[in-house]
Amino acid sequence: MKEQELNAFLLHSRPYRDNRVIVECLTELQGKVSALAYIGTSPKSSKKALLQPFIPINIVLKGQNSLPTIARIESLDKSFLLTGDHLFSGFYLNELLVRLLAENIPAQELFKQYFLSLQALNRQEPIEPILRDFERVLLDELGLTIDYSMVFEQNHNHYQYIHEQGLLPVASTSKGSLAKQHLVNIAQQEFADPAVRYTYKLLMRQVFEPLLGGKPLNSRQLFKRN
Amino acid sequence: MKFSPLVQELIHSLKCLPGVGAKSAQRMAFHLLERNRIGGKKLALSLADAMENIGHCSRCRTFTEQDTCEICASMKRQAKGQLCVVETPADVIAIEQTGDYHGLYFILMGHLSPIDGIGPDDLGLDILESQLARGEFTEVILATNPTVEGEATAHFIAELANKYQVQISRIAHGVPMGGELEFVDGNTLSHALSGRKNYQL
Repeated sequence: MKEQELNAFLLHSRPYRDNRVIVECLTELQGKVSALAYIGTSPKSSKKALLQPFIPINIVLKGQNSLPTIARIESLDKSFLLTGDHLFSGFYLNELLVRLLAENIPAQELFKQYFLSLQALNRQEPIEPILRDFERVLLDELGLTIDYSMVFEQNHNHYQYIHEQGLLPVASTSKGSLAKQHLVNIAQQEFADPAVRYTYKLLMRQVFEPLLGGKPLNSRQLFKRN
Repeated sequence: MKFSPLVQELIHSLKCLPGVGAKSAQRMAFHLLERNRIGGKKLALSLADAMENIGHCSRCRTFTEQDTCEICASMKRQAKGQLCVVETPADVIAIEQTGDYHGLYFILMGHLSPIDGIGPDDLGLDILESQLARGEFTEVILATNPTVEGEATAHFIAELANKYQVQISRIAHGVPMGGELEFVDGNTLSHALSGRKNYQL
């Protein structure tokens, strides 16, 4: 039977029957992959400990149908010990990937960015830029790169992102309007001003909301109290 | 071939049990009908009774038919001022069997798992917070499972409890009794090392 070896991160696992789990992994060469894993119940089985999010793992997939089995699993490095808001941000990344990414489409750039994001979260760096960078790369991967040319070409002062149409001029009083100067800064990757970062966040929300089908991201709830 | 409606209904109802499919349900139904009518009747009665009367304890959220469960009602346990936060009622039984803990429990009935849609509101954390606010406890022991989600849950509760005057502790991670270091995974081992204790002579 065909075997395939992949570097991966587990995104999510859910129980299936008594001693199995269905896992969703982000792999380096195959993009997002679903697979079936047997988890023994004996104390000697260390599979359960490796089937956790935020550990770089190497998996060997067996089987050619749409749900292959994980034949072997090894850890490549120590797990990222994220804590607090950085951990919740990790969940946020995973939730975005689980909900938006299509399976079995190679996404090497995204894998690289995911790895970088986890490393940055592990170093307790400021969360916002990490998330925005990841969102940008995810949009590139989904073929939805934001086109800022409209902002430079037109003289309007306020814009809004409309699904499948991009940034369009709106009246300044309209709800969710984004200031032109901020968008110019975003396009030029200048994020020194907190107001610009806030606009970037609003822009990303406007982009992601229709993609998520109106169902809000649950990991956002975790941040609410802080 | 089709069974009579009543038999069919029984088989269909049995399928609601976890891990029971069409074949197992059929086997169970035939067994009860053919070999164990008394057991079947008893099951039906206790099932009906349980579904009707069992609710959640108003303090710790465990399953009970009373307003407060036996553990929560105990004055001796209340006087200890300790609260152990666990994920499932099965965890309570496991801890009770050790006989080392004599405080109260709070059962979350799950852990934070955004992708599965389980958020803070589903874990009854508002009940927990109001208990902490009343200042009944001096220590909160976070005994959620050592998974990433369990860890996230523990952290979330710790942040919640930090506002009140309580000591917050987390159960230790490490090598199981009778285990061999060679077969323990790297993550557990690094936890065991970083959480090492002074040797008490």
